[in-house]
Amino acid sequence: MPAEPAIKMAEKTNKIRMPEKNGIDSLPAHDSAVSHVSGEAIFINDMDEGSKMLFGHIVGSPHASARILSVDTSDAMKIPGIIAILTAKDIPGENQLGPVVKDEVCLAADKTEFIGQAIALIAAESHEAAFEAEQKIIIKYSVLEPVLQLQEAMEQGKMISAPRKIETGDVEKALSESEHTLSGELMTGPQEHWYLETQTCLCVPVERSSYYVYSSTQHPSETQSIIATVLGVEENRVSVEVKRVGGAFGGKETQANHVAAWASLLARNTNRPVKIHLSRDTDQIMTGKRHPFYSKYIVGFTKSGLIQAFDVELNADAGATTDLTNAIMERAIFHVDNAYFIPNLRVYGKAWKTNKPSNTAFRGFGAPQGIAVIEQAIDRIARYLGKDAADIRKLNFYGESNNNITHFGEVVENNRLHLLWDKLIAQSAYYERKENVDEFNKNNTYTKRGIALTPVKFGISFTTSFLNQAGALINIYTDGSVLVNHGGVEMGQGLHSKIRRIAALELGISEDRVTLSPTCTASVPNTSATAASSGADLNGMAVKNACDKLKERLRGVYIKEMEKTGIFEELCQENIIFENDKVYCKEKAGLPFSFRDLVKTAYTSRVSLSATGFYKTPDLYFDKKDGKGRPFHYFAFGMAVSEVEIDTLTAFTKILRTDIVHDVGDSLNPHIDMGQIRGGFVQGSGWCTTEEIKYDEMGHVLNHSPDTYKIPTIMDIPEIFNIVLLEKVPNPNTIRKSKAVGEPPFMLAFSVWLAIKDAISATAGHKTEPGFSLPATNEVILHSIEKLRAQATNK
Amino acid sequence: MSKQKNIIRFILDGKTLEVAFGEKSGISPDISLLHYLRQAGHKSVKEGCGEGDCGACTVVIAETCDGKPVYKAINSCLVLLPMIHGCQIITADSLSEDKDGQAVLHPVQKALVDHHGSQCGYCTPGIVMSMFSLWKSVQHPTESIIKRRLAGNLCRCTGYQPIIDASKQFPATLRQDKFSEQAKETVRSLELIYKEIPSLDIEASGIRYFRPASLKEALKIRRNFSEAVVINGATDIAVQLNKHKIKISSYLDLSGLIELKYSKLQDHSIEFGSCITIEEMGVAVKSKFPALYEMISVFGSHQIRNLATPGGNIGSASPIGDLLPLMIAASARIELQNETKKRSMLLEEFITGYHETRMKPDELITKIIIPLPTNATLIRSYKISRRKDVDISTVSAGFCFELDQEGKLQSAKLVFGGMAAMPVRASAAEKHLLHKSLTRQNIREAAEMVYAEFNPISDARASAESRRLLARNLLISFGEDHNK
Repeated sequence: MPAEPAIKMAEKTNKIRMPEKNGIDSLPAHDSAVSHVSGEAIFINDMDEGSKMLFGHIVGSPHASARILSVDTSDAMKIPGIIAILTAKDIPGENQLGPVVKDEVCLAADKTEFIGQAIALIAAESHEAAFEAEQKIIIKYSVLEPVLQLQEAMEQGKMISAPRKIETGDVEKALSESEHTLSGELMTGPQEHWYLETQTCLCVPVERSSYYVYSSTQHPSETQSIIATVLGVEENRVSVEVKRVGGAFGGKETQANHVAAWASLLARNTNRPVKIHLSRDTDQIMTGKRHPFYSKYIVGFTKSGLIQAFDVELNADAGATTDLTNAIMERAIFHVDNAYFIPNLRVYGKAWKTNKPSNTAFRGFGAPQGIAVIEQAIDRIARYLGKDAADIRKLNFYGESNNNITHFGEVVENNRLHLLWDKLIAQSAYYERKENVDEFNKNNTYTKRGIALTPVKFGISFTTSFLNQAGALINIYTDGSVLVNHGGVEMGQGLHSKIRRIAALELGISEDRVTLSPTCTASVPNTSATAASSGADLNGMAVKNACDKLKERLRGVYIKEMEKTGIFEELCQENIIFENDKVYCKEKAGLPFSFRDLVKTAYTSRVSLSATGFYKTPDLYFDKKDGKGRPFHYFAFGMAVSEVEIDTLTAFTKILRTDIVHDVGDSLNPHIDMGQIRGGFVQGSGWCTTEEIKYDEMGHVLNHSPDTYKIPTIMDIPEIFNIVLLEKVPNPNTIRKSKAVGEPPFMLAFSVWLAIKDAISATAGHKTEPGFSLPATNEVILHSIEKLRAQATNK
Repeated sequence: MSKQKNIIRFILDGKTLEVAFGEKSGISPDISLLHYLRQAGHKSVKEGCGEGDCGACTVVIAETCDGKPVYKAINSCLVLLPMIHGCQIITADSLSEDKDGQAVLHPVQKALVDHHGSQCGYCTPGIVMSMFSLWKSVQHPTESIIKRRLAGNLCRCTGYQPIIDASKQFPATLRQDKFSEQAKETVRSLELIYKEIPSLDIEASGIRYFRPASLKEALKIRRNFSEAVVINGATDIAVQLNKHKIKISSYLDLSGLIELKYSKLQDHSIEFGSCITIEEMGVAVKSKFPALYEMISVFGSHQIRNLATPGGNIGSASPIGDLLPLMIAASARIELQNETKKRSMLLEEFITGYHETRMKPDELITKIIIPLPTNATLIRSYKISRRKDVDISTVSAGFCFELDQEGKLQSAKLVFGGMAAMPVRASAAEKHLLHKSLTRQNIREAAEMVYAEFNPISDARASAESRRLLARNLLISFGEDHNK
């Protein structure tokens, strides 16, 4: 494949000429880069269905827990511009949104379980009319006492699903025989997704009770299925299309279904197109977050720091319904080992019901919450033994040929941890800088620095095995241009760019001959969510499968044509090569067809130029009862060193430098992979530092807009930010030997979190273990330092 | 004139446009620039939050200054449409140039593509516009300038580095584009708008909207329509309109008062017209008053600083107004004026409570006079927020000490924001320090008094205890710096 010149036209409608490359690189930019910068990229809220279109508005509960006594919409209906107001009784199908467990109503009928829970839907000709109508709807409640805190739910025994446990070795025995043990607990906080595009859906009723739905969803098939359920129609009446999603991060895996179902109910009732676009505040109030976890652990280790046993209990705050909690807990359980071989490990996972919006998927999907515990434990072991935490980490890394079986029985194959360590230690000059940090801290009373190295090992595959499947549909048109449909959603991660590259490479044509269709359930049905970092892995393979089918047919045409000429006889399929927009025979050079001509010939020879592709990840299994199996196709690895400086009086923190080395196999597109690593890391560092959510005693979320919910700005990224991809590490049995990259880098932000702890610890000369939790906001830092100082004064 | 009563004019897409407010057009004078632009088909302008925190709605406005257009990035969600009367509006979708019948990306757009600076693309048009205003105003931006200019644009995908790299590597060519080619014509058109319609008196959709062109006119309106809400920057009011759907029936918009957009350096003080933007104020004080400059540099974002004014910041008298503690500590005075007389008072006296002031219904704040630091004064400003930039303060402070020749304190002003319903002085601590020297010990003792002196609230930003600790620590921090 020759290096293709530069950036191609992003969209069919794009009138803008592609810029000429200036030689920085020859790899294409994001599929939509030109549309993005020129402002032509259309999101659903930018779509206009004309004067017939109505605005959908949601009336949510003001109470975290209440019985609904009555709903009176009669006055509200009199307001001009109000076309419909619906409540639970108006749902023609099933009043149910639960994606896995059917415990989540679409509209609350008799009780409400969190603030913002939808009770009524308004379809109006203007936002103003809808807002006015909302004020006129009279809902009577009998208010109940909510359960808001995770600990409170635990005390009251409000478990939302059966507890899970995985155990390997003999933990009790190993703990009792350990030279040292430490026990502790850790709170990790919620995180708001803060996708720039809030939840949005436009539902257009089409003829004969069918619906065309534009949804900002990560999971078009599920959105389709849920709409069909609430409307009481068959799934073949509902098509869900996703052109692009303005950021998702897990927040639109199940919770895009809500606005989609509501818009569809209103559209069905009014027989007019209905659009719902949540305001930022409504979105932050109504939708779920990353699950907060409260974890308790005991870790046993030798005097050199080798971990002998780890006993951990994970408690998740599920919010009001199950949503994806069980799968999230499962991934948390699978990741409590992170990168470390722990021969005796027991992990319990329990999820609890609180009166808050149902917490949901968020980049990492429970793994960050699980990994935080072991990383905090190792940091404590190192402080307890007076050793360098990075050394303790290395000591406990999974081995390459032994000590390489996880607590759930999967062998850690192609372990890159040791390779990453060597590269990162050199790149970051870790030991030298660690000394410099100590020196700095000796010379400064009120400004302290800290440094930390943390690894990540992340299992790739949906842990629910059947979800590991994907489909594609490729159409070749008579001019040789190619349209690729696949089940994955483009939400910024560059999936379409990777897929386009895969299709072009497989068909041996240049990338500008390939266009990606919007994702649509009518073209590729029954897909899984674009989630679990698996978008390119699964859909890329499905696309390859479709390409293989088409190539086989085209080879047949080629052979026939060659036979006609009488030059070649008995050509075999595998010797026919697709390359450089040409099709030719490897053995007998000469007479190449252009791809385009061969396609035309195929057409006139009545050979189908359209093929579906399918893929399922092989060899996945997991025995839930036994807690053993092979839930992951492979593991992705990364490692980071971060250095921070804190002003111990104001608790102001800055990240001085971060070095990351990451394993992406043979990258499908290094620019896109680097973007995922950088963005994931910064998002993780937000969770670890400034992103905090507080609630009042009624259950109102206090941080419901960017005014008080603070994600990182351009000023908050590391002052020096070095990212390197591990080279020459092909990943066997994946599309073009690549690796998933969406989630793993998120967890490298623990290097920032623990560097902050290191700096706090330095205020007391590393003699006392500081109090610490996540996020390490300036308040947490302030109080931790204050406590250390008070303890020092009292001594 | 009566025919022109309900219209405004501005330049959009290279043409002078006229908007007539009222039932017929369906456009109300309190519509935000963001919503107007989206209705007008400029869908590249995105709404991300409706409160000026995310920058997805960033557009650039061009105003004329000394016969040249000046380009400013602003949050279009914080601007009421009549405020842009007489401006040019530039959006991301109108940047590309037509060459030989084909559209070609603007250099800033191309730079962002080349550096892989977009992922989901929702924030991208806003980022493009912040980069465009930077490209127009700074020839060789340093990394620190780039970051400061883009701090008001949130991106959740990229981790920002490619955006910084793209902004650094703008082509070194002269900053020529279609806007510079048309600059003269643009200025002429904008001046013509002002000449034909200098001031606005809009009465439409049940709303009265005044935008006078002179102070005299403004004071007359103030006398006759004292119920009209005064907007001087609108960065507060616009949020309330967007998010709380408040209904305001009449506005007095001061954005047309060119005569109050000035700064004047005097021997011992610096004077500002109340309608100067915070950004321009920062430029004026950079070398003369570093403590004030530091405070301004963490005031909102660049886009907000291009809209907000000291008059607005003082007039709204918020307990967490960024400039107030320092200005009070510095003994800033303000001048108030009605149709017949002027009066001046200390800013400290002007603010009487939570969003309460001594302003009379017929008065306007016209100027702010801030004494400059002398050799005998020590003046410092502090702002603590959860996130350093584009955040509202948890606790802020302005300290001003005057020392005699022996280094003893002749006066001490310790003013804190975020600790009470209005900016307040730590009087016990001040008293303790008076006539003493600023040793570590003395300051530590005073700091403990600061801790005990206030009874702040717990809220979404911080607990009461954190606020007390932070207020205390700010004074300790000053003491440590001073005794270094």
